[in-house]
Amino acid sequence: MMSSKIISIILTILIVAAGGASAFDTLYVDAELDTLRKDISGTVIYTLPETPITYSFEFQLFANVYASENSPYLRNKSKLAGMLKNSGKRGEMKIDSVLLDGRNVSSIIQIDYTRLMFRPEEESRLNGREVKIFFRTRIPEMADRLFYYGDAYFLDGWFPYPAILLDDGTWYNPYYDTFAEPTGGYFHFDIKLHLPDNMVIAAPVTPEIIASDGTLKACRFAFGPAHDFVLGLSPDYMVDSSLTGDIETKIYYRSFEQPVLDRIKTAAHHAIEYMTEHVGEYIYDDLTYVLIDMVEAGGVELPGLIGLGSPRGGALVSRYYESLVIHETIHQWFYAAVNTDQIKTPWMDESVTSFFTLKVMEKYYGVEANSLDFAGFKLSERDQLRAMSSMSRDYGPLNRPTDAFADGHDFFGTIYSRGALILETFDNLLTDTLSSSFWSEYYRRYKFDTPSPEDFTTLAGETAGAEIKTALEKLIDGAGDIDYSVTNLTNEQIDSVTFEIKFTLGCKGDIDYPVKYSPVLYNNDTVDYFWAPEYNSENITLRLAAPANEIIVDPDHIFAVDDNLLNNSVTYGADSRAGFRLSSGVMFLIESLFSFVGGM
Amino acid sequence: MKAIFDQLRRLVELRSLWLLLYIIKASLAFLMTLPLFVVADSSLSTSILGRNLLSDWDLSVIVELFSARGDAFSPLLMTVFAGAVLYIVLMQFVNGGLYYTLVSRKFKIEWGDFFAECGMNFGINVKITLIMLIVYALLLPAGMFFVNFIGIAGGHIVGTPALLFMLFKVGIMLVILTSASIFSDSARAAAAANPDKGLREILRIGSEYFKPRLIKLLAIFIITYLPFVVIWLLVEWLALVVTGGSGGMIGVIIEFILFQVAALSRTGQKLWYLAVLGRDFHAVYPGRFIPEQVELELGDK
Repeated sequence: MMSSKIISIILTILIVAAGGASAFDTLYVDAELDTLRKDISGTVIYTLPETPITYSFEFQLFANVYASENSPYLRNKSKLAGMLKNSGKRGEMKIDSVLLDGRNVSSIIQIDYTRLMFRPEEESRLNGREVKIFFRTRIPEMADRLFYYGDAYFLDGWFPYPAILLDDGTWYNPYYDTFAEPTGGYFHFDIKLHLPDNMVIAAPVTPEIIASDGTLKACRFAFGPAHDFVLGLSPDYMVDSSLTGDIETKIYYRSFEQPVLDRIKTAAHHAIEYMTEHVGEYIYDDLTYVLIDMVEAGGVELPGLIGLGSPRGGALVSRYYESLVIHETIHQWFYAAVNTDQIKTPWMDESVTSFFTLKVMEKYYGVEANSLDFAGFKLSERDQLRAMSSMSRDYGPLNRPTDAFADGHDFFGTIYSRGALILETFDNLLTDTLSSSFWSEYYRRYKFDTPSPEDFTTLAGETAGAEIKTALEKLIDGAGDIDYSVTNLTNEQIDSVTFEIKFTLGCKGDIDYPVKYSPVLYNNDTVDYFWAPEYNSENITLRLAAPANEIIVDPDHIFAVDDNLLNNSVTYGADSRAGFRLSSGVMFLIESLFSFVGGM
Repeated sequence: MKAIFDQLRRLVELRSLWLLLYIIKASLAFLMTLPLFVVADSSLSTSILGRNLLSDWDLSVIVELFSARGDAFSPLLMTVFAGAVLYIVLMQFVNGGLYYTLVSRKFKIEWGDFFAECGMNFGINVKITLIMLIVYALLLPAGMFFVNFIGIAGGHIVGTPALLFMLFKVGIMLVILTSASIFSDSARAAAAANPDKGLREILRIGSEYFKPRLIKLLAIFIITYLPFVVIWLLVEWLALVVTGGSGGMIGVIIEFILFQVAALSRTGQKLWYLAVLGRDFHAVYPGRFIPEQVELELGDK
C-alpha cells in the first residue's frame, strides 16, 4: 500500500516535471466541410486559462480578410483582390452563436473585421469557463491561405482561433494588414472533421478515421503543440512518403506534378539535415508537403505542413523551386517551433529563415551559380538577396511591425533579403564556434515559446559579449547604407627596401565595428590589419617591403550586408577588360534590339 | 540548292549596301553603349570583383554595379530608348533606297540614285511605319490573348515539356509579328515601285501582293533566318569558349568580334530575305520598273 503511494507520488512528480505536454490548452473543433456550398461549419470549444485573471475573451476570425477586396489584408495583393472581385467568390466567417458555460452571450459579442470580442460591462472573472462558438466559414475561390480551386481545398484560418492572452489579463488580437500572417499561441488540437469520403487528406498528422458510410467520413486529428492547424484536401492527391532520419516526409501531389517530386524530396532532405545539425531536432514526427494552386505566394509555412505553389506550367530552369522548398522547410524551426509575432516582428521568422536558406543553398548547391548556371550566365541565391536588398536599404530598419512597411519592395526587400544579409553579418561576427552554440541555445530556450527581439539580442550578448550585442542592435535597428570602402591607392619608394603605401578607408552606416583590410603586395604577400573606424574615412599610410598591388577591405566577407562590394577593393593599376566585356555584350544586345524594331 | 547559291551570290553583289546597313546599326549601338562603358569602367576597372566578369557572365558583378550605380541606369535606359527611336526614323530614310534597289533589281548601286530614292520615299515610309505601329499595338494583345488561350492546354505540364511549350508559344507570337512585318515589307516594296501613288493605293497593292503569298513569304523568311540562328548559336558557344579559355583581353576582343559577326549576319539575313521578296514583287507588280515596251511598227498597210 505504502509502495503504491510512493509510486503514484513519483509518477505525479514526473508528469508535472515533464511539463511541456500539459502546458498548452486544448482547442476542440468539430466541423463539417460542405463541398457544394463551399463552406465549413461547426463549433470551437475553448476553456479559458486559469491565469492570468481575465474578464473578457477574444477570438480571431482570419477568414474575414477575404470578405472584401478592399480589406486591409488585400491592400497590396492586387492580383488576389482583383480575382475575388471578378469571381465574387469571397470568403467570410459568420458567427451563429457564442456560448459561455452553455449560456448564449451572442448579443454581447462584438465583431470588427477579424476580431471577435466579448467585453461585458459587468466585471466577472472568466478564468476556467468554457467558450463554445458556432461558426460557418465561406471559403473563397483562389486565395493565399484559405481557398478552394476546383475540387481541391487549402484550409488555414478556417475556425475561430483564440487571441493571445497577455500577462495583464487583456487580449492581443492581431490586426491583419497586408503583410501580416496568422499569429497565435500554442495549443493542442483535438479536431473532428466530417468530409466527403473521396477526399485525400494532407494534414500535419495522420488522421484517425472514426466513421465512414461510403459517402462521408469523420476524421479525428490530435496534433500539437502548435499555433495553427491546416489541411489540404483533394480527391486527386497522391502521396509520396519517405524518411529523412526519423522524420516521415509526405508529399501530396497531383499526377502532373510528379516530375518535381525528386527535387522537392532532395531539397527537403538538405534543409532538414542542415537544420538538425546546426540548430536542433524537428519537433513533430511527420512533415507534410502539399502542392496547391495558390495566388500571390510561392509557398506557405504552417506547423507540420507546408503548402507549395504548384509548379504547373513552370519550366523550372533555375533552382527557384528548391530554394522555396528549403525556405518553407526551415520555417518549421523558425516559426513552427520558435514562434514569433509575425505582425510586430516579422524579421524574427522570415529574415532568420532567409538567412538559413542562403546557408543551405550554398552548402548543397555551391556558392556560385546555385540558382542558375545557363549559357555562361551565373546567378546565386546571394545575388538575388543583394539585388533586392539594395532596393530597400533606404526605407527603414529591419526591426519594424508589418504596418510600418511602405510597400512590397520595402517589406520583401527588407525582411526577406536585407534581413538575411544582416543576420549573416551577425552570424559571421559570432564566428563558427559561437554561431553553432547561439542558434542551438536560441532554439532550445525558445522552442514552443515566442521570443522578442530583446530576447534575441540578449542571448547574442550572453553568447558573444556586449560588443557583438551592440553591433547586432545597430544592425537590426539601423537603416540606410552600410558600406566599407577603400580608394586612392598610391605607392612610393622610400629607399631600396621600403615602399610607402597610401590609401583611404571609408565606412558608411551606423556600424563602427572593426574591419579587416589586407594589402596584397607585388610579390603576392598578403598582410592583414584591422581598422576600427572612428570617423567616416581615414587616410592610411603603411611602410612595407614591396609596393601594394591591391588593397582589400573585409576580405573574408564578414559584413555580408555591405551595400557595395565593388569598392571593397582597389587595384594599383586600372583594368578595363571587365567594363569592355560588359559593354561589348550590351552593344550586341542593343544591335539585336535594333534589328527587331528596325528590321535590319 | 542552285537557287540558294544564286541568291547568296546576289547578296555578295549587295555587299556595299549590306555594309552600310550594318554600319548604321553598329555605330548607333556603339554610341548608345558608350555611356554604359564610362559608368561600368569607373566602377570595375579598379575593383578585383570585376575580374569575375572576364570568364563568365557572373550576374553578381552586374548586381553590384546596379546596386552601386543604380542612379545611372535610368538615364542609360532612356538613352537606349531614344537610340531605338532614332534608328527607326533613320531606317525610314534608308528604306527608300533599300527597297528601290531590291525591287528594281539594279544591284549595281548608284549612290546618288540611292539617296535620292531615300529622300523621295521618306514620307511614305514614315506613314507605313506609323500604320504598322497601330497594327503591332493591336496584334500584340490579340496575339497574347490567343497564346494565353492555347496556354490553358499546357497548364498541366512541368519542367522541360513546359519549356518547350513556352518556346512554342513564343514561336506563335513571332509568326504573328513576322506576318505583320512581311505586310510592312510588301507595302514598302509597293511604295518603291509606285512612288506616284497615294498611301491608300500603296496599301492596297501591298495587301494584294501579301495576302496570297503570306505562307510562301513566311517560309522564305524562316529559311533565310535559319543560317543566322546557326551563326548566332555558334558565336555564343565560341564566345564562351574564348572567354572561358584565355579570359584575357584577347578573349574579350575575340568575343566582341564574334558578336559583331552575328550582328552582321542578322543584317545579311534580312537583306537576303528582302532580295528574294523584291524579285518576287518585281515579277508580279513591277510598277515603274516595268521593262520598256518596244513598239512593233507592224503598220496597217
